[in-house]
Amino acid sequence: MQETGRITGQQMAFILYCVVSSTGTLILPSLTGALAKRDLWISPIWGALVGLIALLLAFGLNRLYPGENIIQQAPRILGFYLGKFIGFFYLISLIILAGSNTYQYTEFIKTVFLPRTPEMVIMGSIIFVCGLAARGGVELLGRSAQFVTPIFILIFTILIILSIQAWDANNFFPVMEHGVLPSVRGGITQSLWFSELFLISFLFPFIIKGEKKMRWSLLSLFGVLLTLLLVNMSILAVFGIESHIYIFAFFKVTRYISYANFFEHLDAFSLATWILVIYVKIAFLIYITSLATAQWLHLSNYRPIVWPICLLAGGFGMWTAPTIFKLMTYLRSTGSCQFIVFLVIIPALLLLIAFFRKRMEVRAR
Amino acid sequence: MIRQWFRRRKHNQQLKEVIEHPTSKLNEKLKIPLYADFEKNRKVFKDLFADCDDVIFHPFYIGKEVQAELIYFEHLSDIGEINTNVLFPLMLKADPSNNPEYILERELPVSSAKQVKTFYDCVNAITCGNAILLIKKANWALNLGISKWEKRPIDEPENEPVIRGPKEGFIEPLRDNVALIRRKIRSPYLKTKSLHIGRYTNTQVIVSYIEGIVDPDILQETFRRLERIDIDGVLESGYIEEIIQDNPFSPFPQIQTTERVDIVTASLLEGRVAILTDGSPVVMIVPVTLPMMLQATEDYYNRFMVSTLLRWMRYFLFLASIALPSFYVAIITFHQEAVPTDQLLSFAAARERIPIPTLIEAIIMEFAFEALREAGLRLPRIIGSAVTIVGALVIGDSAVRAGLVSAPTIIVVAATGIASFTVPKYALGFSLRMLRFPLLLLSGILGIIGLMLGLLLILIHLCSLRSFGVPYLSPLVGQTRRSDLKDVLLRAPWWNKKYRPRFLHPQNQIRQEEGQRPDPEHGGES
Repeated sequence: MQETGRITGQQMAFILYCVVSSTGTLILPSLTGALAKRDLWISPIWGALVGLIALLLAFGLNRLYPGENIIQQAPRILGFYLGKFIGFFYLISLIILAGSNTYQYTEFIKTVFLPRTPEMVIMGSIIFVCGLAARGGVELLGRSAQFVTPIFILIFTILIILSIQAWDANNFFPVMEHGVLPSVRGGITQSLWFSELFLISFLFPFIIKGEKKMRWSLLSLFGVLLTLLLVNMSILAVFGIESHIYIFAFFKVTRYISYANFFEHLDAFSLATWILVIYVKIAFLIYITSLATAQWLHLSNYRPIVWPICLLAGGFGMWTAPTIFKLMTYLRSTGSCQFIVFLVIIPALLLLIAFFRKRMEVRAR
Repeated sequence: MIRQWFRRRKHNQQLKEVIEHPTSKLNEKLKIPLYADFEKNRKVFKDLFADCDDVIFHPFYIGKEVQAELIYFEHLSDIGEINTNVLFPLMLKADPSNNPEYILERELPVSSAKQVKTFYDCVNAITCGNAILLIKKANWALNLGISKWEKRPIDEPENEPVIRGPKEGFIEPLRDNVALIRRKIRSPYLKTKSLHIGRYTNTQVIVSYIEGIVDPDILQETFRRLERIDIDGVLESGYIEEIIQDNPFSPFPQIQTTERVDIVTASLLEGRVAILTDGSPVVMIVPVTLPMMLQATEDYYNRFMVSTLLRWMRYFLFLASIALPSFYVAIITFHQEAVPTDQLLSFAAARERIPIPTLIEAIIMEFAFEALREAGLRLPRIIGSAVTIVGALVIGDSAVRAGLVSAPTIIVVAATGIASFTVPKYALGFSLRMLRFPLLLLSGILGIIGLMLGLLLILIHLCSLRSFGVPYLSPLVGQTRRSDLKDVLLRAPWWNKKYRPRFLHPQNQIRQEEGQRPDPEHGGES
């Protein structure tokens, strides 16, 4: 047994929420804004549709092969060699995902807060903390997600409400000036983040029996949608059509908050709260990468390989992109293809094959 | 390798010798029945208590015929009671008899007397201060509960004062403490199971719980951990605490300690287990969680709205007491833009003459504050106030004027100190004081990011910590139930507390019936 911990449905929902909305509030609005312009705030809705599909795919696979994640399911569906091959592809993608998220964190901290600190220190410190959490297992991840997410939601809500003074309602209009297309294009970028909801597949085996998985994951999706919607709205309302020129747009928004000559430049606070959720995300990614690697290699325990995976995640973080702009270009082009393939298309194909296999098995009987 | 092996073997041998020390063997050896031969019994006791000059062997005849002997410690037993209620009736009035029931029922006016049959029980009784009555031709003895020693009166525990609430606290003798609990919970379901720990001290430890409420698993685990203890002496419950806690290397206390009777009683009613140690007024309660550590007794006695507000204030002060100095250092060193401009100017003016960086300044001041606190605690009370005055003058005023430290740093350190005094449980305050320093260093290196990473490390530790199987952050994590959260995020009024804390898995979850809220039908206002 590789993991004995169990989590509740609520903990699962909180983990998923952190996974999507942590980086979803970072460079995503800027990426989307470049494509969707004034319809920036509509894009998350299209993205959420893809998220829903990713969730349903995970649920479908889980129904056919309960108690297993995609790494274990693939060899059953496609046979040993092909399945292991797909599994390997997943391992690579997961580590790239972990690496690119670490890189986004590092770049953000470096650009905005600690310009003179070496990247290695920023990256190393977060990876160390997340590695420790990953070694603690899924129970620890669930509990810490459960603890930090309400704080994050509360403070971000307050920040958004405070930012209303800088809003200009005219920035919203005209809605859908160029038809549906710009918002859909932005939605494709958004769907990249929403499709990460498919990673629920790795959590399914650990959920306590009898929990309402569907309800909690839909709530999580809804929460993410609401968060991104509000964040994008506040960005659009403050910066209008130029929102995409700020890479870390939401933090720029919190900089504009000013009340009573005292509540000023609250970006340090929004950063502090944001670290809480990015920690959950990176720890979760390192955890599932280690777990998946251990399962792929049929190791009896995933804990010894957590630190090597951390090292790799750091390495991939450095290799993914030399600058944040390169990373953004990557996410817009190759990255979006890769992650959509990895999180939606392959699972969809697997589900299709599995469905026909099961049907044939039934018929053969 | 080989040397290590030899060393380990030698160590094992030494351990073995320690384990096979006379006293531990003695206890086992003594678990044998008394002989029928009176002289043989006497000789065993004489040998055992050789060189104990304060032990009294008092030979006499029951009813002037049957030879008997009374053995007791001179200073531990009530001589007056021995004279009037034991020797007087037995020597002068009794019929010659050696039937235990006959003596107990008709001759001996001592209420807590009982028949014992082994040497072990006899020795235990004598060392506790009871008297043992040996009678000729009997293979049993009588244990007369006439121990008596001086004790201090029951008064309010000095370190846990309350404004509203009972003012009685535990004292050293165990039986008084058990009585204090029994006075509050008058129910046969309140159980008190006793065990003895310590090879030499043979300290009595009582595990108290309410049957039907407590989770049997927690109870079993408690006994399992207590029975494992093999130590030469238990002088304070702290000895036991360190042996039975879950994570020995955690900075956080995993067992609640208190001297207040009402806290123990309330915990028993919640389905927790109390461990009382003889000779110590400090009672341990397991399991405990972090939110419980932040609840004060008076929260439950005052009006619920006030209590809720106070609780939230305490939560913020709890956070401040670990993170405020680090936050200050991070903001001043790395994120000056977060400070309003006018404020920043005055900070800059205050710091202008200071030669050392803020981080070092804060660490020095924190250290000085801790030193002052420790000095005030250890010194006699009269000199203690002098230390405080000198400390306040020297550090508070002169240091600033001399340009050694800046005034804002002192304000922050003092505020942190005050915040840490609001933590209701003393043991938790200690852990916070300890964690403040690494956090200071981290925030001095990485600014607010360092602070957050440090807090996350603490959070990771707290999330993996358990107290007797219960997650340390319950009910905030794990299965969250509304009834549990009601007692953490709020202080639910008493008419609304239907359930016991369900994360403790009490057998009987229902605390009381619903519908007790005052309304027109129940005598309240509309």
